[in-house]
Amino acid sequence: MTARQIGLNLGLLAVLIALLGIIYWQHTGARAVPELIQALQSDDLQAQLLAAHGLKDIGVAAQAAVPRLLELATADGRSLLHSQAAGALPWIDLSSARKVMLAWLPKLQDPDPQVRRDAAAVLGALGPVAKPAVHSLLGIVNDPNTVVRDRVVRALGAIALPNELVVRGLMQALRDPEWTVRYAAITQFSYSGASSPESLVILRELTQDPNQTVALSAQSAVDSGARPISVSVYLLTLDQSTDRTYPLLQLARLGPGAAEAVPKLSSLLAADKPLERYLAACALETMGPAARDAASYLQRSLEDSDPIVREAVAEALQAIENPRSAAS
Amino acid sequence: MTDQTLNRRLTTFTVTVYWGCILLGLGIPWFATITVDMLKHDQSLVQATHQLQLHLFAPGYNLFLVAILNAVPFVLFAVFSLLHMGLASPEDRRLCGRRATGVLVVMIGLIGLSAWTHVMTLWHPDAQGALAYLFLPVLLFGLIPIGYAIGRGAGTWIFR
Repeated sequence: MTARQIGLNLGLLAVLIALLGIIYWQHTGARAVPELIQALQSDDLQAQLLAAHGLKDIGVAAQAAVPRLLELATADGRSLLHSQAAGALPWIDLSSARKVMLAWLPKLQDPDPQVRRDAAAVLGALGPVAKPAVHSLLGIVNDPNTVVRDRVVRALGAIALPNELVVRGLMQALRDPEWTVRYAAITQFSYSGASSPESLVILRELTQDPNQTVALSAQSAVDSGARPISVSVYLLTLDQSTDRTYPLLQLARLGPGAAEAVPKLSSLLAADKPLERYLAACALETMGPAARDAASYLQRSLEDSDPIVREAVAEALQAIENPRSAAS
Repeated sequence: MTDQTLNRRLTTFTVTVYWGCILLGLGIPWFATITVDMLKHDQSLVQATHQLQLHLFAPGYNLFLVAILNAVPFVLFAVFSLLHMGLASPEDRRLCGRRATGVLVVMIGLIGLSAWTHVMTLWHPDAQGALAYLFLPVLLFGLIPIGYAIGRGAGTWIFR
């Protein structure tokens, strides 16, 4: 082969590599949003589910998809799509996520168990942003329908805040006559480190449950309750992980016990992602007066661009300055 | 056979191996996905192709990146084979034959290992299955010198 022929083939390879790079660039990040919105508008359920997941990963830059996601999360349709669309919204726009919560809250009282089940699933998909829905979920934790109770338990685990209320609901579910519901409740304790001394007592009893799956998972939850993850591990995760929502949520569940995280949480009140700012404010709220050093940062965040973050910041300030009225 | 004919055949062989490696490196993961969807999940070719298209950039699947990752060792070997065969003197038929055997054995080995790994990973899905996509390029890199040594040895025996 001549040097020219070799050079031509290498050049064509370089063109192919560049072309692949351009294709990848066009289909990732904010550039992918128009195509994902188009997929949301299709009739293909799988394409819609994948598009909602893709938009969740893109986050705030997917603002243009909010109206369509809001429509899919609230309009009559497939329950799987409701949850997936709702699950994407907190990562993009907290206010829209709250709108979904408000749309589904009354449906928790619907006479049709399937509607109550879907409502609980959607509220769970919203995660900690659906914190105001916890009281309503607790109201149907003893629903006569097993599947509804199961979804309620999972929703409480996903919302996770306020921890005391959530744990109270989960403890009720640990006594549920149906093993699937007990199992769902136990798993919330297995991976969250949210076990209280009271819940550990019930979990220990459940290690003798006649159902082997329940007994084994209860043992696992007792073990993880005996070895709680320290605050420093969550702080390390906050520094090293790209998704900071999990460690933030865990710190929020620890309450005043996570006081050493106050400086880090204060700095995260200025994070780019509204969901992170919201969770940082929630974590500071649960610490109450122990987060006094964060008060000046919180004051500044009262001007946050996101109304839901502002609301969480105001609640945090109230919990720090006037813990009794905040608790009531 | 004239020198010109030999030269042309060698060029055709080299270019075929070069582009074959590059395109198969990219295409094997996609062909494997389509094949498994058709054989295991009873989908039609159109459905399987649609599934592939949906999952090319989908979070958690990223079949586009999987293909790129798989193609890296193929591309490097393609460049090696282009220079190795392209710069060989066509007059030295023995040398060309030995090199061609080495290159062919590596190519067959790369295609076989890659296709087998992708099909098996999709056929028996597992939570840790995606790790195969990370380890596979390393294995393919390791296969190149071993395969070439075997092929070159066979070539030496054939073209004495």
